[in-house]
Amino acid sequence: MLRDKFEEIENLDSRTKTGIYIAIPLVLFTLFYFLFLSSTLDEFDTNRKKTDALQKELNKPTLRLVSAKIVRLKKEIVKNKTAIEQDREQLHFFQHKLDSKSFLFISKKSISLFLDKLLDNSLNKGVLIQAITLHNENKPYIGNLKLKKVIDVNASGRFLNELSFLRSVEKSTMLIKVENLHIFLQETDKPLFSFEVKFYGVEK
Amino acid sequence: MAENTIVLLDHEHTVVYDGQKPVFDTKNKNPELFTALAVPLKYIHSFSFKIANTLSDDELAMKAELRMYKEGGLDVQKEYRIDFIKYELDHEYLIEAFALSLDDFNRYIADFSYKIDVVDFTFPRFLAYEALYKTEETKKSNDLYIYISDDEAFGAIYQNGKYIGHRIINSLNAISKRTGLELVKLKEYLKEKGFKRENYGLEETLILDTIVEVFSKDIEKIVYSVNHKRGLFGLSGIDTVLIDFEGHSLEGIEDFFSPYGFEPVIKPLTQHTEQATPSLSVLLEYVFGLHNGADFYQVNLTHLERKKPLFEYVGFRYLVETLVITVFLALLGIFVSYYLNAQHNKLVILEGKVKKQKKKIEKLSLRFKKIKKQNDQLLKVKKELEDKIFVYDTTFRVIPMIGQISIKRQKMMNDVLKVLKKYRLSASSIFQKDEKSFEILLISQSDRRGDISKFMHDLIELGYKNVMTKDITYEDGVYKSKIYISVKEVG
Repeated sequence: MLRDKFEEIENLDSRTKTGIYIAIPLVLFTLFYFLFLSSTLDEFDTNRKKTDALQKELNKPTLRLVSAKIVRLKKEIVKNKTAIEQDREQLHFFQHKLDSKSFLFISKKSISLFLDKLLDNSLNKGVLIQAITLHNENKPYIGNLKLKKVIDVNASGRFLNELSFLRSVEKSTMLIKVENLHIFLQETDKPLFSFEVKFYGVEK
Repeated sequence: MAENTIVLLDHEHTVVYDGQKPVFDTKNKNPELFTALAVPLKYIHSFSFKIANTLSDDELAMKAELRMYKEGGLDVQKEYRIDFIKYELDHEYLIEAFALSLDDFNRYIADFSYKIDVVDFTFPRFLAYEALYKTEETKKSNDLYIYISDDEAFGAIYQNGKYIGHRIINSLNAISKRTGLELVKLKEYLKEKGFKRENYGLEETLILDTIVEVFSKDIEKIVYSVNHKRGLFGLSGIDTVLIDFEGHSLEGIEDFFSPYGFEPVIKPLTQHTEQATPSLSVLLEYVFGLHNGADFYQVNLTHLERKKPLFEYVGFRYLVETLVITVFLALLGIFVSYYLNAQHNKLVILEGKVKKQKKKIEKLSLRFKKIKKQNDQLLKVKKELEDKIFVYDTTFRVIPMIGQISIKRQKMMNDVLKVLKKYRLSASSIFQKDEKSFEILLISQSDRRGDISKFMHDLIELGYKNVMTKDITYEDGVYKSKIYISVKEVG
């Protein structure tokens, strides 16, 4: 059977035989290429691209950066905790220090003592107090300080006595400030003057 | 057995010949050796024609086959093996074509006493005499071979050692039938008495006359052929007539040629190899020579060609080529698949790594967020604390400053009063807003109004950046001037 086929081939002309010799590898290679190699090469190319992309993804410094950030942040936390501790100590110290300054705590008693002293001084300095007006303010000033109260004083007396009186008022141990000092000099009578005493303090 | 050894097939036996010694056997023991068979001419069809010498051998073969069927009397219903001898004439070829039918071939070998599977070479006997021309000297002769056997007889013409034609004549059996003589008796007469009338008795004259009559006609036919070849090949004549008749001559045969003007030398064919007869020796030498590359004319009419080994077929080579390429492609495919698989594995590993890394990053990111949140809270606490500290700090810085304000206010007042006293100026009102700004309404006599500017100048000298007056009024011989004094410059 096979020999018969071979005999048939043997009877072909030499050009056809050579053609078959050339055609066999061409056909096989073509089939191989289209049935296997082409799709394999495509798959190979796709895999290569995927591999490159994954490798790129792996090489990204994200993990290292996040780790470094965490380490840095941990250090910062330790530092901040220490700083907070120090700040708390300092704050505690300041609070204690502030608490020790009793003049900063404006009370009715301290105000009445101030007024007593003011009246005593006016007598001693020969100044006639004409009016004293007390205003409660409680307005924020600077830091923990608040403008707690304002006392308007209207008085008359000799000019130098007035100045002396003012100085005695300013000698108070309380945190005060004299402002809006008006002095009206009159030829016929003793000068009139008015001023404001502002009391600064903290909340208890 | 040497590769150049041949086997010649005969009815009763096979002859194995290695160029030295023929070995006879009754069986065909060496079918692998080159096997030859001489077929009697009665089975062979021959036909001669002339054709243009421009054709190739393949084309000639095709033409020969066509002409044999058309003009050579072949039966189209039968299968023939056809071959030819090509003679080059001046401008054309003379083709002598031969054909042997499959039926005749089978009929001939059917009588053989052993089985025949392969016959590499089947040929007409008359070509074998070329083997006798072994030297250039022997080739310088035009010879006629007269072969006579029981079943076959012919005359073969050789010019310069090459076959140029043949003529079938009556075999011994045929003569026996025509003369009524027994074959054995006929052979005895021919071998012992030939054609010499004096060798025959009176009572044998009739027998002789009958034999001579047959023979003279056969010789006439041969001479006719010789004369025909003269025209074609320029054959000058016949130098020698060799009688191939079981080693015997035919006494008186020369008398048949003389009427035609031929006076050849008559010789019996006597050369033989070992125990082989001269006829057989010629066949053995011819086949052996041909198998070993001698440039003899050959006509192969076999129907039992040796099948080539499979690997010698072009088809087998195609198969091998296909297999080799397929194996190569399969190996290439395996390699590519292996590589692709390795690549795929790498990809899977990488995907795993990336997935793991992503999870790790995700985990770390969550941890980072948590820590960041903690840190943000700490920063917030820290900021709050720092703000509080700042407030306290500011408070502690401001408290002494407020204490200093009264001193500053008093100094400013003292400075103003000192300068006021220096220039003995009067003031109708004084307004000290705070420790930084001061307003005074000065009063001076018209002749001393210059003191107001001196007053201002001195205050500047004392370091007050801004000392200025905005309105000066003169009333009842008195100047009233409002002076603004401030620690800082007014823009």
